[in-house]
Amino acid sequence: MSNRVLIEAKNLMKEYIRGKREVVMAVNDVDIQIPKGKMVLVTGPSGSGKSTLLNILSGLDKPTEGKVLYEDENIAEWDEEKLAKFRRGNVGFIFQNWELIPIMTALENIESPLYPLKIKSKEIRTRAISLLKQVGLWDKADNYPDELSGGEQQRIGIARALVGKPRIIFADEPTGNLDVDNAASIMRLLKSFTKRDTSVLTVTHNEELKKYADLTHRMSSGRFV
Amino acid sequence: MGLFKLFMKSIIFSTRSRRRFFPFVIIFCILSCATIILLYNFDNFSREGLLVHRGVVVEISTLGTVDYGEAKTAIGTNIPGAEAVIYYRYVDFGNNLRICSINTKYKWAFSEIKPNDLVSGSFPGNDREALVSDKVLLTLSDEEGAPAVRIFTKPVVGAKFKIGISNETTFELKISGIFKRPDPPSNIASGREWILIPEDSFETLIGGQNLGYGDTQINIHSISIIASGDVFSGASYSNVDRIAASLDDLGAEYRSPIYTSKTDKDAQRNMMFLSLLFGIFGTFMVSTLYSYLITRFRRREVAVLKAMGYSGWDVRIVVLCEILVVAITGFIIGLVTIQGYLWLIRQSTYFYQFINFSYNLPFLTPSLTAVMSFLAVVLSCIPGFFLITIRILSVRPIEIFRQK
Repeated sequence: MSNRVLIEAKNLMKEYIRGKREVVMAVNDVDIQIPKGKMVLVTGPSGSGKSTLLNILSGLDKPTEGKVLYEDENIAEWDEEKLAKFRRGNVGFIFQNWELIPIMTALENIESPLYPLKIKSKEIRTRAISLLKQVGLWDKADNYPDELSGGEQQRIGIARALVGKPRIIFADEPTGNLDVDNAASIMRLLKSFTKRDTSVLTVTHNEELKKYADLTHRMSSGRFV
Repeated sequence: MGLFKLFMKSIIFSTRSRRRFFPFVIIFCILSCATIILLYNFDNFSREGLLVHRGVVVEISTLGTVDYGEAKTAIGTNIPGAEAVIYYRYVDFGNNLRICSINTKYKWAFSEIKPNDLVSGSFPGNDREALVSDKVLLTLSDEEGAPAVRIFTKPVVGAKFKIGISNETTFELKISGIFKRPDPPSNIASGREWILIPEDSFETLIGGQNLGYGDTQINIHSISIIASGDVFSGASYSNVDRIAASLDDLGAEYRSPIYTSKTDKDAQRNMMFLSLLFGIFGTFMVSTLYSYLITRFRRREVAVLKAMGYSGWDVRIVVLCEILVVAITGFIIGLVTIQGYLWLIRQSTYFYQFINFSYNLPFLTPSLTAVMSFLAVVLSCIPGFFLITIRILSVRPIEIFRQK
């Protein structure tokens, strides 16, 4: 595994049982490398297996076969607690439906990944405010998610993914629910973080987003095509 | 530091889910009230039951009085099988006051005064403390024109007062507690206010240097014979029965030993204990239901937290905080409600105390009962919490995300 590669997957396969007997191959013999400080884009239609691939690479899901190497360790073999620890220190998630916590304000949502960590409250607040300013929502700090628009919620989701200073961000359809202007704005924001050596893996059905990526893959029926 | 921070934040966030928070606070409040009342009753019952489970009370007949010397000759101070023999002696002062001895080692063994007769304060802890009845007035005089026996104080816990037949021979005592005089008054105490003082003080006060009463002038209210044994197991009954039988021979001047039969007492105690268990079980059921609702409504949030790197214990803390905040808020409101209710009841019963506002303490339920109720309410949340968190922690975040 090269020094410039952060995560590498080999021969990934993921099977699902649909209904009683039907076996669905969501990911079929996929190899992928995510270099440090690069934006990798995986495109494909709905049901092509791109979200499953993202979930496996982030440690949320386990492959049926194959390896996911992170610093020469196969995270596919780790238990839930070890994976949680891995995600805590290295991974930021941007969810398709934003998944903000409704009882927290925008600022608290951004801070939330850091609450269990041994970081001083003042430092957490400083980081969150800084990110809130970067995503242009400083004036919405005390708003609850249901008081924010879709684009604003997505920006808060991005800020939350970045607050822990992750080495990689996994973004599942980050622009899926946004208009063209908001989508471009979000992609530019994500791209800007690669300059700080943060890797970004984005999966989307929107082929137009390829222009923001350093590397692109297209998936269909569980395979790269 | 991390867990503490998470704990504090979780407490804040748990109050924000108002749709769940307020209804469950009310439910916990009602359950807490029930638990406090049940525990209070059970506690009082157990303490009152202490005497009849562990001892025999020989009460003086209504037909006459028995002096101390006569009683000692008849019963003695050393009965085989008995742990202690306590003579409750008294002298009457003028028309209004009765001074009675009590034993500080065997609290509440005096058949006339029970823990729930205590209005405020506590049982005397040392020789220079006294229990006084609630209607003791500022100045008592045995007859008009005489130098008078006077109590120079109001009946307030902690206040000191003096008893004596002249200013030179006064005897100072501190009020440790105030009790409600039994109603209807005892057969031999009708119309009098009571001062209960420890045996040593009684002897000093009544003896030659002070009031100068002799043995034949000191009467016996009752005698409590403490049999050894465990209160709850009822193992002492054979001993109690044996002592009771031996006292039957003492003659007509004494009542039969008074105690409830073991079967009846056990039935009462079991019923109370069962009620208490139902109270605690109710809290357990509600807390489990609440935990279930939290995990149901916050299932997706928990999945997000786990995806962000929260460990199993981090998630447990988040859920536990929400349950505890609801349970404790409900308990505090329940406790204050009970206290307020008792306070209002008491105000209306004792009008003169209403004027002297400072007389009453706002918290009337014994602190031990409150603490026990608190533990019962809070601890009963724990099993439900663990049952539910096992369920939610077993689900991987990805399985929850897949559920739209």
